[in-house]
Amino acid sequence: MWAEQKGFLGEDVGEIVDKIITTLIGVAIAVGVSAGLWVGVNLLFHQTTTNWRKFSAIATGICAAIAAIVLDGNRALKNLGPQQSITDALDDVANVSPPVTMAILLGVVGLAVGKAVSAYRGNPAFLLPVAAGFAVLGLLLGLTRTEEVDLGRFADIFWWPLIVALLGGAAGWILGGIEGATTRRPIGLGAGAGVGLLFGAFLTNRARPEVDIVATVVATLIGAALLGGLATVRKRAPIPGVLIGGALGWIVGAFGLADLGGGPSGWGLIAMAVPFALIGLRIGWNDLPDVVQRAQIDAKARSWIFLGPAVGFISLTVIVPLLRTIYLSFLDERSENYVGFGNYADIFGNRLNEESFDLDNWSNLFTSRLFLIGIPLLIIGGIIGVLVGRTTGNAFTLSSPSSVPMAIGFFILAFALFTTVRGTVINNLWWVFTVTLVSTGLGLAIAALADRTKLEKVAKALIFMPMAISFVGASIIWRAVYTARDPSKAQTGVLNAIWVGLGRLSTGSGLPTLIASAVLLLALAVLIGVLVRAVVRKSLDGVAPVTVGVILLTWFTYRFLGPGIGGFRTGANDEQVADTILFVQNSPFNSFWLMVILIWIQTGFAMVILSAAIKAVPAELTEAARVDGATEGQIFWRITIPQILPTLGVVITTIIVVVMKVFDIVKVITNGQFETQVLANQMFNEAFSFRNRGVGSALAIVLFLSVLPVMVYNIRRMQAEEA
Amino acid sequence: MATVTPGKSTGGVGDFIYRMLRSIPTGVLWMLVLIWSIPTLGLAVNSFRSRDNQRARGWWTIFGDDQAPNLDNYEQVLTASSTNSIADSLANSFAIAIPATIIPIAIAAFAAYAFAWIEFPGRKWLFIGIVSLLAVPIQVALVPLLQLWGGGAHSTLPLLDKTVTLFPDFDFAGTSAAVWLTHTGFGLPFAIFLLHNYISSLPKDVFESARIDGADHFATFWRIVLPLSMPVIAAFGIFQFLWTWNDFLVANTMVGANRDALPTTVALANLAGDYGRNEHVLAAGAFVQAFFPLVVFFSLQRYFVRGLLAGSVKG
Repeated sequence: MWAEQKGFLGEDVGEIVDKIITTLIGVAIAVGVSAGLWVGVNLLFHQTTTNWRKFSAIATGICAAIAAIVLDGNRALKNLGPQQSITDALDDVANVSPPVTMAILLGVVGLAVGKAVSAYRGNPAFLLPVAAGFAVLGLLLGLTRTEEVDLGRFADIFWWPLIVALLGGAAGWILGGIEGATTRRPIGLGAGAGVGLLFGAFLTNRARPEVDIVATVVATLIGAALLGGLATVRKRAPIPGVLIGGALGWIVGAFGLADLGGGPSGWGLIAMAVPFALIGLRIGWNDLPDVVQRAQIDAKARSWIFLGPAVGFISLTVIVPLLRTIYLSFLDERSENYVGFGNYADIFGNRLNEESFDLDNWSNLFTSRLFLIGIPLLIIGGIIGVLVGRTTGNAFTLSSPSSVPMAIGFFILAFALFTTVRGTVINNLWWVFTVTLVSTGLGLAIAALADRTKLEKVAKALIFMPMAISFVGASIIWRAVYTARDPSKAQTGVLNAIWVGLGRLSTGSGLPTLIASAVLLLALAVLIGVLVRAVVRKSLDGVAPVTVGVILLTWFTYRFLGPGIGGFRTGANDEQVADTILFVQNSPFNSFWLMVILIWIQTGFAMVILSAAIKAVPAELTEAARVDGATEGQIFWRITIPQILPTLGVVITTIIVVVMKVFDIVKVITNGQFETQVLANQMFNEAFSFRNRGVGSALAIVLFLSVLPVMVYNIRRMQAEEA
Repeated sequence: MATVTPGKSTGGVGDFIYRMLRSIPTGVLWMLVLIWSIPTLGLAVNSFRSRDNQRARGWWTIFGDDQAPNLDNYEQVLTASSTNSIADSLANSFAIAIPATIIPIAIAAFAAYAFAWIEFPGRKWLFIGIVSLLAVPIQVALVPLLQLWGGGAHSTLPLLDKTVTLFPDFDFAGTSAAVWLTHTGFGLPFAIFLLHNYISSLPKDVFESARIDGADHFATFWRIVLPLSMPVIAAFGIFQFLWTWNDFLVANTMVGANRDALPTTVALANLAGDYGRNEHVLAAGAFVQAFFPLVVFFSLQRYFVRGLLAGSVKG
C-alpha cells in the first residue's frame, strides 16, 4: 500500500515499510501471545483458592498436553492429525478469504490480550474493543501479504496436544470434585492408564521398545526407592515419592535401557500405560487440599510464574550455552574427539604462541625511548615526594604534588613494556590498561571541569554523544581521521594534515613560522613565570603540573625552532617531502590509535556517572573546607575523590568488562592485522571464519575467565549492600 | 588539570596573568569538547561532498570545493538499487531492535517484581546469581547459540545411547529472530538488575494497602507496580534499543551470511570492507546508521542518563 511512494528514497521504500509493518505485527502477536499465556497462568492459579475443580481440570489438561507435545516432538507418536483430505479442505476454507481467516485468528489472540488488559485495568469493558482491534490488524495483515494461509499444518501440529488435553482435563475435572481416597485412587489410576494406553496404541514403530523385564523392574524399584527415600528424609509421606520415582524409573528402564524400534505392540502399550497410571495414581493419592494448602500452592506457584520466563530464557541463552562452550573447548575443531587441554595449549603454548605472547624482544625495553622518559619522571616524582613529605607529611598520596609525575612516569613505563612485549593477550592487557585509565581519568577531569560552569549541559552532551554511535560507526569516523594519503597529495585525514602542516610550519621561514615561534616563546615565558611565582610563594600544589607543562613546552619549542618537528623530512635531492604517519598500519602504536576510539566512546560514560557522583557530594563538606582555607585542588583530592571512590570502582569495573571483549573496532579497521589482534576478534575468526570450534570455544572461555574477577568483585559488592 | 596557585594578587600584570590562568580549566574543557566533536563533524561535512572533492582535499576546505554540498551520497545510500544495502538493512535493524527491546522488558518486569516483593527460599542467591551474569561476555554463548537456533538441541543420553530432542529446530538460522532471541537472553540480567533497583525502592505502604484491599501479587503488579515503573522501563528501553541497534558481533555471527537479513551495522561494516569504489558514501552510510540512535539519544537523554545512574551508582 506504500508502494506508490517513490522519488528521493527510491522505489523500494514500500518494501521497507511493509517489512517494518510486518515486523511490528509479528512482535505484537508474539508479545500478545506471551502476555496472554502469562496472564492465563496467573488467572489459572487464581482458581486454586476460588474454584479448585476448574484448576484441577485445566492443570491436568495442560500437563497431559505437554506430555503429548514432548512425545510428538520426538516423533514417537503416529500422526494423529486429520487426513490429507481434511487438511486440504481446511486450507481451502481458510484461503477462500485470507484476510477473514487472519482476522479470525488474530481476533482469538486479541481475546487473550483483551482479557489481560481487562484484568490489568480491572475493567471488563476492554475485552471486546481489544479483540476487535486485533481482528482489524489481522484483516490488514491478510490484505497486505501474498502467501497462502497454511491452516492444515497448524492443525497437524496441534491435533495430539488437543486430544490429550481434553482427556486429561476431563480426568482432572472428575478428580477435582471427588473426596475420599477409596474413590480417588482407582479413578486416578484408571485415567492415567487410559491416557498411557492411548499413547501406547499410537506409538510409532521406531519408538516401540524391546522391553527387558528384569532391567525395567530393577530400574522402577531403584527410582521408587530413591524418591521415596528422599521424601522420608524430608519428613514427608513416602508413597507419592515412590509413585513418581517408580514412573520415572520405569521410563528409564522400559525405554532407555531397551533397544528402540520394532518391539511387540503389546509391550508398547504396557510400557506407556504403566508410568502414566502411576502418575495418575499419584494425583489421586491425596485427598483434596484444604483452604490453607490451596493458599500455599497459590503462593508457591506465583514466585515461579513471575520468575519462570526470566530464568528459562537466561538458562536457555546464557547458562546452558556457557556450559556447552566449556564442553566444546575440550573437543577438536569439529567437536568430534576429546583433546583435553589441547586447545588451551594451542592458545598459550604451541600453535598460537607467537601470536599470543611474543616475549622475544623483552630486552629492548631498557633501550626504548619511552622507558628512558618514564624512569626520570618516576625519579622526579620520588624526589618531590620526599621533599614535600618533609614539610607536610604528604609524600606519596594522590593529593601530593608527587602524584602527577609519578602517574605519568608509571603510565609511560607501562607503554614501554606493552610496546616491546607483543601478542594477542598482551594487546588485550594493553587495551584494558589504557582505555580504563584514560577514559576514567578524562571522564573525571571533564566532570570536575564542567561542574557548575556555563553551558555545562552542552559540553557534557557533546562529550557523551559517542555513546549513541555504534562501534562500527565510530570506527568509520576515526578511520577518516587517521587517513594517510600519498605524501605528494593533500592530506584528507585531520591528524596527518595537522602533522604535515606542523612540519611545513616548523621547517619554513615565512611570516607564519615567525609568529608561531613568537607565540611559543611567549607561552614558555609565562609558564616559567608562573612556576617561579609558585616556588617563591611556596605553594607547591600547583608546581608539579606546571613543571610538566614547562618541560613539554620547552622540548616542543626546541624542536620547533631547531631540528624541526612534524611530518616533514629532507628528500634525496635536499628538498622537503611530506612524511605522513600510517596510524593504522604502523605497529606497535597502531593499537593505541585503535584504543583512542574506545576512549572516545567510553569517556562520556565515565563522565556522566562521575559527574552525578560529584554533584552528590554534600555541599557542607566542601563549604567547610573552603572556609578553612583549602584550595580547590585540595578540596578535589581530599574531599571529592574519597567521597566518590565507590562510584569510581563501579565505573572502572564496568569499563574493564567492555574493553576486555573489544571486537568491532579491531574487526572493522584492521581485522587483527598489523599486530593489533585481540582475543574477541581472534575468537570470532577461529570459530566462524576458520571453523575451528574447539579453539574458538577455548578463546571464549579465556575471555570469560578474564572477566571472572570482576564478577566476583560485583558479587562481593552486592552482598555487602544486601547485608 | 592545571591547578593554579591561589592567593592575593598584587594587581597590574600579575593580576592579568592570574586571571588568564584562572580561565585555563574552562579553556581545557572546551578544548576537549572540540577534540571530541571534530571527528564526527568532519565525517558529517564529508557526507555532503562529492567523491572527487572528498578525495582531493580535507573536509575543512568545503568552502573551496568546486561542487556545492549536496545530498547525492545520501540518495545513493538510501536507494536500495545501488551497490549497497543500507536502506534494506534499516528494516532489518528494526526487526531486531524492536522485539529485542520490548520482550526483555516484559520478562524482566515480572522477575524484578518477584525478587523485590515475593518471599521465596533462595531469593537472595538467585538474584545475585542472575545479576552476576551481567559481566559474562556474549562470546561464550555464540557457538552453541548458532547451533541451537539453526538446528535445535539433540542430545544422546549417556549410558542409555538414545538421542532425545531437547529443543526443537525452529530453523532460525540467518533470521532476525536468532539475533533478537540472543539479545533478549543477554539483556535480561541488566534489565532485571535495573528494574529491581527501582521496584524494590517503591514505598512499602503501597504494597501493604494493596494487600489489605485484597489485591494479590498479580493485581498488585499490573495495577500498581507497572504504571509506577514507567520511568525505569523507559530508561532500560532506550538502553537496550541503542545496544541492539548498534550491535555488530551478534548480528554478524547470526545473520552475517544472509544478505537479506543484514542489519545496518553489518551492512555498514561490509561497505567499509570494500575500500575504494564505495568509500565516498561511507560517511553518509554511517549517518544513516546512526540517525535513529541519535534521535533517541538526544530526545530522551534524561531517561538514558537516569538509567545509567540507576544501573551503576546505586550498584
